[in-house]
Amino acid sequence: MTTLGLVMMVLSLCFVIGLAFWCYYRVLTAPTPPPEEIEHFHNA
Amino acid sequence: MTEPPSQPKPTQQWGSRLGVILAVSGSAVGLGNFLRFPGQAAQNGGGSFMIPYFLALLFLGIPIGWAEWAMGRYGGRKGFHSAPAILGVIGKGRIARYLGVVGVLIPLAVYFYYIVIESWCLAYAWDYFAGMAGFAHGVGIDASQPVAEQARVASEHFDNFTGAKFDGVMLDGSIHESVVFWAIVFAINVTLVYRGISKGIEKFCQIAMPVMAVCALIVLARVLTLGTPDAAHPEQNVWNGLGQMWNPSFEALQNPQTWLAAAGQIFFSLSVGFGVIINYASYMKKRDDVVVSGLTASATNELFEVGFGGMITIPAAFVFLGATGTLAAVSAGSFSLGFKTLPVVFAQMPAGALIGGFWFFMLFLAAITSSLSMLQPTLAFFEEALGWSRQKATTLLVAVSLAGSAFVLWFSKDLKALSMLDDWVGTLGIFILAMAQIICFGWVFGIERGWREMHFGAQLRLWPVWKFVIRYLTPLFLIVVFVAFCWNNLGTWMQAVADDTTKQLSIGVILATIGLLVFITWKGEQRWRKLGLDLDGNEPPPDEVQPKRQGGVR
Repeated sequence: MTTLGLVMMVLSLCFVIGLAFWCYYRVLTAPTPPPEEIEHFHNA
Repeated sequence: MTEPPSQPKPTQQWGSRLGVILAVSGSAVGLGNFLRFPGQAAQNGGGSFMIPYFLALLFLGIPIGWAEWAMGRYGGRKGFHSAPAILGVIGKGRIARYLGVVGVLIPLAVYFYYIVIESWCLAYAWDYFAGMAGFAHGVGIDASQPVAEQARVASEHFDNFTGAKFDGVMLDGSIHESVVFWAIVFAINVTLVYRGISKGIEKFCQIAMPVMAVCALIVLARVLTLGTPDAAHPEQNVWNGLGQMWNPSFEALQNPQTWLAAAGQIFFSLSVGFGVIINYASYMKKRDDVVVSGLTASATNELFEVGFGGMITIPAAFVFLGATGTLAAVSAGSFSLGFKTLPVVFAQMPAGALIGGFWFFMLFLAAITSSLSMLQPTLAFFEEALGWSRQKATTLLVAVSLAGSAFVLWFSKDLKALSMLDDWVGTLGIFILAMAQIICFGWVFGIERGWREMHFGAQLRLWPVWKFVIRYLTPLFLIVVFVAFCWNNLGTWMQAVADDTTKQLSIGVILATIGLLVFITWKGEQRWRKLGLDLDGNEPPPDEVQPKRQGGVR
């Protein structure tokens, strides 16, 4: 593999892995919606 | 004083936000991530393919995905879950509603053939695992034979199993193995979908997605530790195999075909314009985030595609087959690469039977999480358009999908029926639906209103430049790709239909399915009007009406 090939591979992998980790961090640390909101939707 | 229009109560919802993300990711991650993507990249500039690929992800895949998530959740708040009903609301009328039929046609007709491919994956996984345990004969490749002979055996095994040599696989009087696996896979899909969004699809995806990742990690670890297995060919090593996949050829960027291939790969891989996201998002809660959820589903798909697909298939093939053999396998297409070439590679590999089993089981999980997402939009459409119970709607769904899939199974020679449905519905249809959706969202519903809807409950505020992207850049990008795609393919496809009876019959199946879906949409339209539902999107959703002033909409 050439140096440029290695660079392309590392950059691509860093991008997809970084994006995925950042997204899952945001999803898993998000506050849960208030219960009255859920109740209101169920009754709509 | 007029009463606000009554809306159907939400009958189903996702159990958790992670659940819907994994379900949408499962829908997007399919065979194309592991077989199509590496082939496209290796043939179109290697590492430099990633430049147009990521640009297409940014300006085509992610914006259409966001629009679909937002439209789906909005439709769900108005009590609708099917593409015709939701597009009718977003697009404000009959034209959009009937264009929405494509959003049911695609998942349904793709299911006809996808379930057949899914059964191949399960059968191959069974062949490997059961072959190791001595319960089955395995794929039958003898690693001591010359590679050409092994390739012939692998090819013959695939052709015999799939009935690619003759039509009417069920005609020879015996119980064919492929039919048994097809029936098993069909039953699993219908059972899971019948159990519902939360108890069936969500629970299954929450298990299947991590298991798929573990299988992929096992195969990846094996491939990356192969080293130089054949001392007689020191150049055939993993490092050079990765080079085959990732070494850039920047001249390829001057070829429009590279850009088209990258846009096409992103488009088909993310499940956008498929009629699935719009349906899945309709079961979300009002304040569930769609911006980060949409991005997370896309990121998961990219992780599987680039992180696993880009690191496994080509390097594994290169180590045992060399540069020439790998390129020949790639240019023969995804099925050839997956089901004819890789079994030869696994035969040479230490612990190859085990790795082969994990590989095909991973493909099976990728396929089933996608096929589940194809049944749910149709089931939701039958339920809400006909006003039927889940049991009755499932019966109709089973009847229609069984007939369509049996057609694909029967006309198996050269996989013509399968290819026809894939070309005309699974490829062309996606462009049409994506275009209808992005126009409805950015232009008819209105980008300002769409922007507010997207950001309602969102954890992340997007830069306003995305408004311009969604309204102008994405539709323009889509039009260019669509025109170039039609220019390249439509003439050949039309000629092929004119020359072949099976292909004409396949078009007949597509038209008959469209006819049925249009009829059901018409019935649904009458039913929704009779119920006083706001099917043209003239009113805000009931939960947007101020409870204090109106006294609630309960």
